Amino acid sequence: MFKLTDTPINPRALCDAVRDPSAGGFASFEGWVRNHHQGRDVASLEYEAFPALAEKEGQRIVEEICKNHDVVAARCQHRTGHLEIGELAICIAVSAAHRDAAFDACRAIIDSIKSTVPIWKKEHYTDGTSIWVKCHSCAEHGH
Amino acid sequence: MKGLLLAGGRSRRMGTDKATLTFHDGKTQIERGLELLNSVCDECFLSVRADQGTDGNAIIDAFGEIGPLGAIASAQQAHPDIAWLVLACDLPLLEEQHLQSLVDGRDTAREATYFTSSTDGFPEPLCAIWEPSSTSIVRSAVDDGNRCPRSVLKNLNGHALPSPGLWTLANINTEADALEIRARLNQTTIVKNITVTYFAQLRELTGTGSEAMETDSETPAGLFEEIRAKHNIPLKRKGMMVAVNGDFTDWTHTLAEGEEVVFIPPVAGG
Repeated sequence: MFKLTDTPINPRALCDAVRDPSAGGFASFEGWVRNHHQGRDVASLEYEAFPALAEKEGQRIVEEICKNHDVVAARCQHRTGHLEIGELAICIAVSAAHRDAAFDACRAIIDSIKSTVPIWKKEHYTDGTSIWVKCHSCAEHGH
Repeated sequence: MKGLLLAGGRSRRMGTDKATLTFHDGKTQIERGLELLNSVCDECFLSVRADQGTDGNAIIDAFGEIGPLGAIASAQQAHPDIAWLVLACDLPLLEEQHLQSLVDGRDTAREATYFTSSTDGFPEPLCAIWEPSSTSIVRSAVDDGNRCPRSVLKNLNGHALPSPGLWTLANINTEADALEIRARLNQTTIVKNITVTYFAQLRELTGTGSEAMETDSETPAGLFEEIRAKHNIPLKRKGMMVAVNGDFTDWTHTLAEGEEVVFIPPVAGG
């Protein structure tokens, strides 16, 4: 249900994987690489994961959310490696009998993944510098 | 020189009042801190919040609840012409000999005398001598809204003494810190071999994907402090997670021989 991949994600394949005769609603979320972050011009970025735990935790999250919502099927893929602007970083596909469950579960999955799955993002800026995103917040009091 | 024992904190991260924890023969941290200070100072004061009651000598925070720097400014305002040996109340591994070496190393011509941190090389503000000549700088920092005694101390014309050791000034902010410190006090630490694997920024900061560590740390929290010191890592444990043998675990986990540890700075997927 959750996979890391170092090659481009095919959203159509995820959609097809959750297709089911009992499903009347489908929701998906795609996270794309954006060319700006906090006022800085982003040239490209890199995702690095702690693979074993990222897949385990991602799987746990998708399973748990499917259990708590009336979901027929759900899939999620997250990219690792170097990504250019506009590339797909994450794709979530959820099917359900009705739209509310599909929307809610899709939203819950992305929010949960962002908070606990061990994946880190390094942004390369157009000025040639780069930074591990959020790293600054844990070092904020480090002087 | 007078002693100032800082006991006005609210121990929010710890959840229980650190000042009343006991580590040595049933003595509270406050009782022990005053005993240590009395061994090297003429007179000692307890630094407290306005809403705390206290018997004996006390300096009440005069600048509201703004932390240790406000406590230091309050003491200097009450007695501007003397030096203050300022001490946090949550340093169970600090011994009289360490305070004595601070006093012996004191340079009264400077604005402060302090130990250098072995983890990041910065001054240790809460076991330091703040001379009367630092008074106006401390006060203006407080007036400017600066809450960080470390940054103020760093900018003083201070006299730096070498670190008294990785654990000497270890303080207790979390349950894991308390476990680590108790194991050292009780001398129950065991040396074990741990593999530490690094990803992302930690892999870059340490310059390696993985390393074998021989450690006497009791918990991943202690091991992380060792690693911070070894590789000069600017990240702090707050906000981080830890995994042992491939699963998330608590910082209070007891490390065992052969375990594999991964430290997880704030994540940024999605």
